[in-house]
Amino acid sequence: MAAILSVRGVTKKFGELVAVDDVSFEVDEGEIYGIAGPNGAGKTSLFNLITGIPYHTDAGVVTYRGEKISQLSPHKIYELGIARTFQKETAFDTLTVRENARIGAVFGTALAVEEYDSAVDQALESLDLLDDRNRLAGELSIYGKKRLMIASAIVSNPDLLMLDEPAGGLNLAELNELESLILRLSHGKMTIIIIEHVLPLLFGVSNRVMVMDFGKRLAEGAPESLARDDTVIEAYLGERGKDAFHAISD
Amino acid sequence: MISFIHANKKALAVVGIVVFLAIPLVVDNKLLIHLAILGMLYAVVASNWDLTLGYAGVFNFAHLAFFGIGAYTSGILTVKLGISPWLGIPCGAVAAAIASVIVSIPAIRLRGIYVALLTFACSQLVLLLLLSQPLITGGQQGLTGVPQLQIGDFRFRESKFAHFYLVGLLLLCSTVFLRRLVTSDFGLSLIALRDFEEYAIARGIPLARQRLLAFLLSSIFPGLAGGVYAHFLIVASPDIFGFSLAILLLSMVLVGGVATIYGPVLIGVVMTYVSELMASSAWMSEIFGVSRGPVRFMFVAVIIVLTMRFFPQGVWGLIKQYSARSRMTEPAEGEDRV
Repeated sequence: MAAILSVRGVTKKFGELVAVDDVSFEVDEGEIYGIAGPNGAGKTSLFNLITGIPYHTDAGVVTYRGEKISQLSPHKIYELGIARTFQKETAFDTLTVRENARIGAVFGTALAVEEYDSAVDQALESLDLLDDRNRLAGELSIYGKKRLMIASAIVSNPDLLMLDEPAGGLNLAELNELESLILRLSHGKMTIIIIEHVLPLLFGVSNRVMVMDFGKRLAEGAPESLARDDTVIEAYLGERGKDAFHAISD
Repeated sequence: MISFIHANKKALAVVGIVVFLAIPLVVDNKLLIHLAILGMLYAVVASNWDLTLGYAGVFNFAHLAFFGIGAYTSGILTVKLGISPWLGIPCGAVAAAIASVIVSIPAIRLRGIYVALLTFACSQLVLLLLLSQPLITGGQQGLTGVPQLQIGDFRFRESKFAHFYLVGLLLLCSTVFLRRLVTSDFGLSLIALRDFEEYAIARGIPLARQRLLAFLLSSIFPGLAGGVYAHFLIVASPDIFGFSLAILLLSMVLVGGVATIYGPVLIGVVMTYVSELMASSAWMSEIFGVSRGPVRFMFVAVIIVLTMRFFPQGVWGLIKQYSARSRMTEPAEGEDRV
């Protein structure tokens, strides 16, 4: 399978702090690619660098379908078919739910004017938001806003969907809903990159997972092999945690 | 009552327009007619300001300069070059539009208070340029001898109807234009950028282009209004660029209701009456023991503070809240938000 997204030696510094340190990876067309790592590992910064929001790379190159996108304007990156969500639940609070989703359909997409309404309804339907369509987005719950953010991302049917911690703060039932949604989108041929702390969800849906720590790529592989990887366990649990983990699992 | 209004929106609009057309036939007081004309011109400027200030959320303090540039452009072209005011007025709008693009280019990349500082500086720059060229602009005294509007032998200032209907038409066109704009996808994109800039950009909205368009589209009608203003008062005065007028117009936007368009239109006319009648009535200055001019600006300042403190959504916002509550339903599709 051909790589849809290729990240080569990408680096971002904030003064002395190296948020993303020489990270490289490739995402194949149609795959679900997971990114794990402790807080502050540079996962969201990596998303920011790929989408150009709010900053670009200091070094390294991001290519999408063979085209260099690392210094492109963020709205142009969306036009190419890359849609992301944000870690924090984010909405256009003074617009209605329907208008929030419409924003994703109108600007820089391949949709024709007469397709907007049906695309919006379809996206809201698939996130169970159709009944709330005339409410103000600011009135929604956290989970509601998170779903709306995904709805506005998938309304244009992007080729690459980037989800930044979609499961944060969700209960078990909501997690199951989210998991089936992600798998459904993936079956619809969408390529998905997902950052997630909830490892059962991440390992459950991903074809491959990259683990980051201190801005670096620590490991990459199939979920089942990573779950046994010592460096990964150490990144999450520390040296003593790793020993404890082995003591329990042996 | 409210549901009746909602059910008969179109009929009520027609009734409103008929009542409006009849005003000069019924009202014989010259001052009241004069203030209505002035009020409607200010309403045009204030409601267009609502596009950048309210919908785009950009602290654009160069807005009054668009009005002033319209007035001076048409004034200078007619006085110095002798062209017809009917040509001068659209030239004023074009000049205002060009100025809006020049101001917006540095302003769209800045945030918050820096936008306010930059745009205010730009507006003062225009004023200083005008004052520095007294031979062309009349300097501190303003440009006098601006010709009045005329069709054939019919002089606008000799009729109490002519300016009233002309300016009424201008306000109507401007309001329809603005309402169509803010309920379009373009309007949606401005609100999205205002609500959450990064998220809006992440959904493909080109920030620089939309903000530049907001400045440009908000400058055209004030440019036209400026030209009409100069020919109506037969003078173009540097007072247009003063802080007093800016605050008066700001109060129209804030008290009327930010991001509503209708609010500044309505309160634009009302505030003009209130402020001008205060200036021309003796009792206010007797009570406060100061000259008439400053009292009304003190009054405007107090009104702004009270509005911001007790009903920041403004008059139109209150009306909409009340009507939404009395209907007890969710806002209908396509309806604008507070």
